[in-house]
Amino acid sequence: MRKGLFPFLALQNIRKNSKFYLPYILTIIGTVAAFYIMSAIASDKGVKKLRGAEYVSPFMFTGLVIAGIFAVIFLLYTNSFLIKRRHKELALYNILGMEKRHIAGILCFESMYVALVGIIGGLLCGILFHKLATLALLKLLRFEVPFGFVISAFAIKITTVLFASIIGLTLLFNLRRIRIANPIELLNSSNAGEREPKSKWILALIGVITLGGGYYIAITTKSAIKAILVYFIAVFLVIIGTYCLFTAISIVVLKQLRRNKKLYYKTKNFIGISGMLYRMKQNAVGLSNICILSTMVLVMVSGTLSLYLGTEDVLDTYYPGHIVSKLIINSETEFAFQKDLTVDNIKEIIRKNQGNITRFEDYTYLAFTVGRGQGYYHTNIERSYKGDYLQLCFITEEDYYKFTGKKVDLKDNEILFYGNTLDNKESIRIEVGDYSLNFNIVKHLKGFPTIDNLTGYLVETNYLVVKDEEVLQTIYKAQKSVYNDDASSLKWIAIIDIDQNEDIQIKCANEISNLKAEDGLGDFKNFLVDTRAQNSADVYAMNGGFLFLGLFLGFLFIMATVLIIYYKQISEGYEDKGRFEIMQKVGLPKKEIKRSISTQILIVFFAPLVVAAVHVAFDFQLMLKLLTLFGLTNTRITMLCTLGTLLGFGIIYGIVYGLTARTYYKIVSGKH
Amino acid sequence: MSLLEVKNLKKIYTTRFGGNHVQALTDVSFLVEAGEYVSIMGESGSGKTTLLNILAALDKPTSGNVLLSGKDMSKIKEKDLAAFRRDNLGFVFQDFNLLDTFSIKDNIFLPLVLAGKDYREMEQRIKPLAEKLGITDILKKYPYEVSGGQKQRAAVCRALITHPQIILADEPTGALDSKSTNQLLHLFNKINEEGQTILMVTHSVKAASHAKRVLFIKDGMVYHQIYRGNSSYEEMYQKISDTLTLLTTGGDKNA
Repeated sequence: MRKGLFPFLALQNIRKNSKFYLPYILTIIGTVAAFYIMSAIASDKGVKKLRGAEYVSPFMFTGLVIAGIFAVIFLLYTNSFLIKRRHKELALYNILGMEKRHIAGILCFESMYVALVGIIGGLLCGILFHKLATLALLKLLRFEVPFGFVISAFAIKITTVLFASIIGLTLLFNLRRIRIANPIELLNSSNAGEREPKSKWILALIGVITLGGGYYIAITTKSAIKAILVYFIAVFLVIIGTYCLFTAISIVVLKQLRRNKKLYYKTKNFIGISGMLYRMKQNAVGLSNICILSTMVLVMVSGTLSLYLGTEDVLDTYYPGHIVSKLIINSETEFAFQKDLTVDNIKEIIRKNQGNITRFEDYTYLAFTVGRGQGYYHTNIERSYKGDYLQLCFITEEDYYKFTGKKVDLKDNEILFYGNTLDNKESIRIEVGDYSLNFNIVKHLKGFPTIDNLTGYLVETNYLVVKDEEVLQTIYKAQKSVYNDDASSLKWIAIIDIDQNEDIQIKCANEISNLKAEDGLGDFKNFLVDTRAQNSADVYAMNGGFLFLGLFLGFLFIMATVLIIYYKQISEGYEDKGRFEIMQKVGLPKKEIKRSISTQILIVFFAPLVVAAVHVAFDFQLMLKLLTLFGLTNTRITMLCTLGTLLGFGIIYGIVYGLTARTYYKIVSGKH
Repeated sequence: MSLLEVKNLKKIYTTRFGGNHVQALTDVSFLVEAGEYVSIMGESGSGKTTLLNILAALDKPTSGNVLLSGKDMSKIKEKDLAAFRRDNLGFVFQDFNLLDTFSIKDNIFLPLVLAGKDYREMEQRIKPLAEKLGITDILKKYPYEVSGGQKQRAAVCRALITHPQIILADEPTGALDSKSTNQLLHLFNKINEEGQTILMVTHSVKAASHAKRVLFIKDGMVYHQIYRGNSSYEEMYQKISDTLTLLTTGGDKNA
């Protein structure tokens, strides 16, 4: 065979099949570019030196791994679609006298072209957008370090190696397919008989159960700590449920509809139902993929977006003031904590730094975990305790007054109660070892201020306002006698705002943290002083890193979704072309056919979007809980971000559908 | 008045580029009476398919008319054409044209469903037809589960179920083995004896020999016709063969 023929034929093939190859090559370019950018940022020495980089680098690395895995799966998937479409052409070569090794030669050249264009194009795009992505990342992270135009040799190397291997893998896959198939099989493989889909009741049942189970978990999980535990179970169940929904449930439902003769033998339903039956059979897996990818995009983007936009809220929760100091009091020492002396010393430090205090709030609290019995609490919780438990948080009426401005006058055995467990009971009993603490509930409170955020979110917490510190001490001693080394200590929190800049705030905080026992702290267990200023960089780095990752993977997944939709439209188009012609011959008006088909196509392509939206709706509660772990409790932001993401994604999806639908109609009406 | 009147049909195709004209039909005229069984024969490229497409209202002639029961088909509006085809014409194709998304029964029901008929009426209509065509057992099956002969009988059933004025068959035996061909041809004779008008386009001598009259088309014109009269299928077969020989060999010399 002439020498230049393979390269020439390979080029011809790609050009002739540009309808399939162009999107494929574009996808490779996109994935390569994304992967390059991710690896370039992950390996960037400049980024590593930044404050908060300890958060950013792992994110980028995670992103890199996910993008890599994604690239392998996705490119193999699209390749298998491509090669299936070309069976006839390859078989023709074989019949016309080409040996299999000749065909293999052509395929090799094709892969080489694809690899060259895809990888080089992708790297160029990647290098071009790398700078932009870095700027976006820094903006998100709130860093202001200028970066030059950098080309990362390391990133180029690993990107090239990875994608060359992936394309090599697809080539091997294709070669194997040719080797084992004979030409007649290849010629006919695209019109292999269409079996009627069977009702898979068991699969449908599994689908209903898993989907229901996933949703049930999502809406019934009450605490954040449980949310982490169950999140992946719920996701797993919903993914299985989604596959079952599209493969089995849809067919069972459609078949039931078909069984209803009156309904079925109506012009509109007749073609619609049977058409959908086959479409669902052929596209179930593809549609499930679209649905799951869409859900991932939605969850990732909305979650990370709300976290990022809620960063100020998060900071408010963690650092309610410019300076937050937290003293863990040792209550069993002669050298006790002197609050007034400590406060004076703190104020003195701030005064020395030319600062005026604009806010000074302090309070003492005690919080410990108890088991929940029928109508009472108990301290009988060993490590192996499996029952229900919660946290009790006690503050004094004096501190309660500081928070709320509400004056109360309690007796020793009286409390105010906040929590959703004791439905309007009049008293509360806490069994501590052999005896019990009994309090009369004077009032059930409707709400409660945030007490040292860290206590509240992981476990359900009940709040109790008691008379004074003496009562607090009594309770402290009671739980200490049972819990011993695991017992909680009283904590004193001071929240301070000053009218000086961040540097002074940090300086003051440093000096406060150097206070000694003699300065009023007494023989303390621990003393922590934090500034909002110092930590906001960290929180922004973390949340910004999350958002960047979310957007980045969102972009990749959207690309995948678009390509799957496009290929589905093409294959649907070729399938429908034949049906379209027959129906016309049998006497269905063109308009009617077009209407019926376009309704079906709409249902097929928008079903995944609708299902994804339902998934997201159910996931919402769970996501709220998870976000509280990052300190975000602002439901409104999360709600708005989720709706916004849904809307944005819906619009992109609609546009993609509109564009690809044109290709579909061209094929069906035979105008290509 | 004849059931089908074809008058001076002329069809010229213009190729998309360069404007080359190809004359598919030069001047075709013939009549088909109600209850007739007419076969149209001709070689590839003689204009058979073009003629059938025009008769089926799938294509429009460049000039000339087709009248079905006195109604000019070229005057029917585009939007009414589908309904017209559905109500008046029954089609049998070489490649069956059954939809594989429907069971045999639903394929047969398709034109009735499109016409908005009641389900009970459909059931009433299909029963005797299916028995006559011998497909009662396969009604629940799908096209890919049955043989070519069965598919074609299902297609005949689909054509008959609307009680069309005329059945147009395009090479109905083209994809069948000899046994199925015999079955189908006898079936056509049977339904013709019951009064159904049939117009069949074919180049199978055997298929044509079952018709009452055979028209020969060559170069876009009706060249010759043979009536069966009282001849047997075998005699008819011989007559057609002779005519074809004349058409291909002697015809050229005379032309």
